[in-house]
Order: sequence, then C-alpha cells, then structure tokens
Amino acid sequence: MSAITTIDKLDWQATLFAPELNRLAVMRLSAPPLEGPVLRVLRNQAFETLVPVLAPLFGFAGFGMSVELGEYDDSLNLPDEPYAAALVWLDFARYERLTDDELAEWMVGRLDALRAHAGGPLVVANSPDPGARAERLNAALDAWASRAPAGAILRLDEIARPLGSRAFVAADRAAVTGTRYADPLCLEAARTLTFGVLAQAYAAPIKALAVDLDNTLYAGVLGEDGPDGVRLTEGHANLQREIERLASEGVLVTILSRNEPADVRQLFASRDDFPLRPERVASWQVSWGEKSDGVLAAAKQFNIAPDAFLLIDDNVGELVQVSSRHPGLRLLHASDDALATARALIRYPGLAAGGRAFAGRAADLAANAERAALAEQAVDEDAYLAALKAELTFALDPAEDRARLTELSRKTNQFNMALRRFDEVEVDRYLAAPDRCVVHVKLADRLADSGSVGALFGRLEDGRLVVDELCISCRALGRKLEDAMVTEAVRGAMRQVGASGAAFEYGLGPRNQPALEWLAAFVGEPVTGEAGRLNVPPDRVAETPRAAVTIRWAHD
Amino acid sequence: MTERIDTEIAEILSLTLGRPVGAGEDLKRADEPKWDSLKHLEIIFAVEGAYGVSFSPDEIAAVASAADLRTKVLAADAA
Repeated sequence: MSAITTIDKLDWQATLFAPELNRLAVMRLSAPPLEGPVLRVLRNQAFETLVPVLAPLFGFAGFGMSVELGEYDDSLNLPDEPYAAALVWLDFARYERLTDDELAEWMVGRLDALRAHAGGPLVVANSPDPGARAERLNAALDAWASRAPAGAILRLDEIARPLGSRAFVAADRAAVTGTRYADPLCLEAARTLTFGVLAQAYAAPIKALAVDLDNTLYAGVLGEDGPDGVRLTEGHANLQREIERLASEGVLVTILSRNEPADVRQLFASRDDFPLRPERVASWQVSWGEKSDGVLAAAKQFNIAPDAFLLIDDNVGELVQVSSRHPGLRLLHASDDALATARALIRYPGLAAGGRAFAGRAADLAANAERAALAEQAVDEDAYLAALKAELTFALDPAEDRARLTELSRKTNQFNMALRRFDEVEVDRYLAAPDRCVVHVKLADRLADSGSVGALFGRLEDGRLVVDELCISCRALGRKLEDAMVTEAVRGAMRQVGASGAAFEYGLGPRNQPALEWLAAFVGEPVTGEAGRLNVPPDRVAETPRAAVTIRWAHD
Repeated sequence: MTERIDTEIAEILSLTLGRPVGAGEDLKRADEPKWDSLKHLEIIFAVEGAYGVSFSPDEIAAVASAADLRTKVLAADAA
C-alpha cells in the first residue's frame, strides 16, 4: 500500500493506543513495508515476531525505518554493517556463569564499545526479570544511559511488572518460540520502543496542543448545557490533567473552539473543578470561524509552524479539514471514551518525554506583547534593548547541556543555519574534541526568562573557525538580539579553538530563510545555492557587542 | 460462533501469508510454501491473542492446518 494517510491514522488510533496491543488488530492495519534508515537489532534471542508489529507503529509515528536482525550473539560483538540506530535485545538469563557485578560490568563495557563504534540512538532493552540480580543490572544500565550520548533504555522491567506471569513463557515453550518473553511483553516492547524511545530521535516534535472544548475537554455542549451543565467525567479529568502536565513542561496549549468567547471565559472562571487551569492556556482561539484559521493564528502567536501542533477534537470532519489545510499537523480524535483519549495523549509520539521542553515557554510568550509595545515606544534599537534589559549568558562546551544542545540542532527550523540536525553522539564530538567547540546561549530580559535559546557548533580549519551549525530558538527571534548573540558566541569560540577568522556553513531548507537572510546581512554577501560557506569580515567579530545588552560568560 | 471463528482464522492466515484464504478453507501448512516456522509463530500468537487461548509447545508443533487452529479454538471455547 502507499503512504499512510491522515484518515488511516485516525482509523488506527484505537488499535495502537489500546491498553494492550492485540496482534490481530495490529495486523489488520496493513502498513507499508519497513523502509528507511536501519535499526539494527543485536540479540541473543528471537525478535522476528516483533518486526511486523513495528511497521504500523513506525508509520503512525511518522518516520520510516527498516529493521535488520543480527545473528544470535551472546558476546555482543561490534557489527560490521552500518546502521542508523541499534537495539540491544538480550536475554540476560543466559549469562548465568557471571556474578551480578560481573554481568553489570561486562554489559557496560560492551555498551561503551558499541557507543564508540557507531553513532545514532543506542537503545538497550533492560532485564524484565524480578529479583536483585536484574535490579543491579538495570541500575547499571540506567547509569550508563544517563552518561552515554544518545543512549536510551527500553524499560522491559516496567512493561513486565503489570503483566505478571503473562510476561514470560515456560522454558519448554521458549525452546519453540526462541525467547522467554511472551507475546504481550514483546508487543508492548515494540510500542514503547517506537512511541517512547525512537520517536524522541526521529518523530517531528510536537510543540503545541490545540484542544477543542465540547465533548473533548468535557462531556456536553457549552452553548446548550451552560458552564455548570457540562460534565467533567473521570476520563475528561484525566485528559485535562495530562494537558495540564504537558503545559507545565513547556508544551504550549491553545483552546480551539467554535463557541461564544464570553461563554468560554465564564466556563473557565466558574469551573474550579477543571484540572486544566486557564492560566495554563497560552492562546485562546474561540470563534465561529474555521478551526484551521485558529491554528494558524496560534502558530503565528507562538512563532512556530502549524505542523508542530497536535489537534485534539471529537469532530472527525474538523480534524480532517484542519489537517488538509495544514499538512503534517498531528491529530488525536477525542472519542466518547475520554480515558482512551488521555491514554493516547500520554503515549503520543513527538511529545517530549520527561519534561525536556522549556517550562517557562508560555510565560515567555506572554511577555511578547509587552516587548512589542516596548519596541514601538523606543526611539531606536539601542533604546529598545536598554528598556528590555536583555541578558545573554554564554557557556563554552557545557557537557551537561548535551541533550538540550541536541534538541536545538534537531528542532529549530527558522534559524537553523546549516540544517545539520546533529544527534547526541555528534554533539558530544563537538563538546569533547580539542579542535571543536560548542557555545550554548541562554537569554533573559526584564519581562521573562527565555532559557536556552542558541547553540553554535564550530571547529578549527586552517586557522579559521568554521561554524558548522548555528541555531537560535524561535523564542529569541524578533528581539533584535541575533547580532549581539552571534558576535559574542563567535568571539568566544574563536578564542577557545585559537582561530584568527571565522566562516559560516549554511544550507537552504524549506523554512530557514530567516537564518539565511540574517547571515547575508551579517557578512555583507548574498547567500547563493543550496549550501555553501561565507567568511565573516574581520571587523564584524572585532566589534564589542551592544552595550545595551548584558553579556555574561558562565565561567566568569 | 463457528462461522466467525472460520472467518477470523482465515483472516489471520491471509494477513500472515499475504494471500487470500477463504473462510472454512482447510489450508495445510505442508501445501503453503510461505507458511514457514516464523509465520507459524505469528499465526499462533495472533490466534492466542484473538481468542485468549494458549498453545503448549507440543500443540504449536502439531498445528498443521487451518482446521487444527479451529479445533483448538473451539475446544477452548467449549471448556
């Protein structure tokens, strides 16, 4: 079959977000074959029966990957074949001759060797077995993943716990199936691997939710039932709590509803039982107009593209209409079972796991109106910056910020100079190599803390700093700070690698025109072709950045 | 009930083997080149998940046709 359509995904939702995956139901989804970058499975047990389940999961998550299975290998040898990502799928019960400590030490050693051998996500399925030996091993794996670039754990222990005895099969059956892991454990492992682990690296990030009201956020119709008549069921409360949690972690929330604005204001003012509080809502798009226009307005307000939204709505027609106008926008159908909607939202691929998004994003956005007013009142740019009291904080090679630096490279679009899209392993190389460096930029002004907003990745080449990548978050754009930010970052990077000049690499993409226009103005030369390099005139980086901006280095 | 089981077993075989299988058709493993050991496990797991039955190792090895799958499901239903 051809590519998965929006309608397919809506049809697949109930199956792929079911409390427990059902193999026959998944088989019915008839996904296209697995194609794309290779996920290599390094294993000492069967994985074959998971492969057909991965096709619809990858398809729904929106990334293509193929799967290649290695030979059974207890010694976890380094594979000769190239791959984009690797999954270590070992039955640790086979290492009975090793003590608990020996097993943990050996595994970490092999994982370090694998990490050094190739880049890309390196995912390790931990031990689902109960007992102290598995706990000791899993703790060692967690510690490894917390320090290894692009290292991740597929937590089979957490999947196995609620399954109890259904997680495993008896030894005689394992001899036939090739693994002690029962099908319910394997199916859930496939889903968690895709939606929970690989999606963090490969799925397009969701930065905002657009949420309908009637029969989505509560049961009932506001215009008919009134603010006190709409019902908050247990399922709707769960859904609201999940939206509230995501908002607290920096996912922007828009209310997108065809209702009277006054009714909606009254609803949120009077229903203090609603877990989702109005102060968490960063944009109110309440009108009788098209919802696709509401998404566009919120996208402009947030300075992000419409395809970075997840739209949650009970009306399939409206879901399809909005998605036809904004291709790439993700959809979640709010069914009558709000618990199912909440469950799907918790797992939805593309939402950052573990609160990695910037929690202060909504407050920072809310300050934009006041910043715009300051810009209008100021007589010139310096006066505006002085009124803003912007403070830029720079850090050189901050290894502890590796995850955020990777996120900046992978998720920024408008101001991403070369579109290199580094993964954690590549970022680690810039952080660690003596002839390379990374400058991480944070921004605050008198109105709000914008947090981490910029990254420069550079290397020394023939005495010159070559900026391989320069990324600035959309949150920091529009404040006339780009020149000051980049000038100081380049100066710091030049000092760090001992360069006497600088040049920028660039690449033309569908959305990074703002970055290229800035570059052309900064270096005084046009940007031409699909990709290239432009030298920075020496006087540009010799200049002291604007006095109206406070510059600080983290180590000062 | 029997008709639904026949239809679903045919569907499982059809989806696994990638070719149409008619409801009630007694497809035999020996006659179907695509029904290899890996597909065999996928079929067994799909039947187990669909009907809440469990095949012993001996039963897994003994299944040689669509009729064997049907017999197992009906026996579990009767029990």
